[in-house]
Amino acid sequence: MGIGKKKLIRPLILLIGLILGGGGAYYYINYLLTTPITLEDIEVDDTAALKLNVIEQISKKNGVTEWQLNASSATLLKARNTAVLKDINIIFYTKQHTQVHLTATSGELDTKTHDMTFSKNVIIRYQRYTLRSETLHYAKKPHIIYSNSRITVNDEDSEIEADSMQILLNQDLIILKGHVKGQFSEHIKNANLL
Amino acid sequence: AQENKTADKKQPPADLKITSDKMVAGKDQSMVEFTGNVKAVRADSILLADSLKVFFHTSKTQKEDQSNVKRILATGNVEYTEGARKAFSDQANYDTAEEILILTGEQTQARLLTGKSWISGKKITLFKTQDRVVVESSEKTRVEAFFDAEDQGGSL
Repeated sequence: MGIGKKKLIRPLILLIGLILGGGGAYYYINYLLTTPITLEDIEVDDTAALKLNVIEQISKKNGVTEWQLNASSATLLKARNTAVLKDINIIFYTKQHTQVHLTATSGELDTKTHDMTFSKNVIIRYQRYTLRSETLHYAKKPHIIYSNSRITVNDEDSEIEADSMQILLNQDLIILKGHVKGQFSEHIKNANLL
Repeated sequence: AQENKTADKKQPPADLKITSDKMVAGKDQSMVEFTGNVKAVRADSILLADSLKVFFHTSKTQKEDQSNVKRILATGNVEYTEGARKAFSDQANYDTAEEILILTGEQTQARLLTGKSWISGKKITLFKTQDRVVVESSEKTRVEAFFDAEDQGGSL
């Protein structure tokens, strides 16, 4: 076989090899993509949690919205019927259609009773008033908000502090207890507390 | 009896500071009630009582340049102190616009003291801007007064 022919055979073999290799790779990848993935030996954790980012929930009673909740994340703990929330933003609707607006760093929502507990930098805004505390609870059945840690309520010219507090949302009543301290500026308009 | 000083001394507005065991505030009532060891301080006046109601003006009732605290009603073991003056009564009602303090006795007579001198009656009205005091009796009890010679100026 002439030298010309020998020279041709090697690149030819190379080319055929490349084609076969490419085809094989194509078929293998295609096989990977199409056949269903089967996972073996998975461990199921009985406190299995579902983590949701950016959650929104609305609670209604007899068709009337009682509260609307937004959070940056919610981890649902099945065993404890609890949702652990981060960066919370809630609006409560009182019977007189006024709104009570609550924000907090973290909180827990009982997914069965819809009771809630908030902690860290808890702030409530209600009409012209702002309430601050480190912990706060919402009890759905009596429809009340309460705190057992020191709270401060103020508007632009009055301020009141106390050891504990209850807001009865249905009666629009706020009750403060323990070392109550109030300061009312005399001369600025509209200082009434509620 | 009537103690009269005509100079009209309108008090500058002053913050009202209150401490108590408990506070209750209701919507639409423009009133806040403090109960339990209540102490209210305003300028140089101190009011102690079992319960204190603070009534506020609403945007409709408040006039220009008027204090937003409309009225203060203290009840139960009321003790009022202002400078050298001290008063005891069952109830005290203070109108911030008129600057009139009315002390009334239910079980006991209202009593106003300055130094060793004192005066008592069913109802004691202090007109703060005029530094004037009016004491009234009831059917059963008459006005009583005691002016101690050593007290300065013999006034209350």
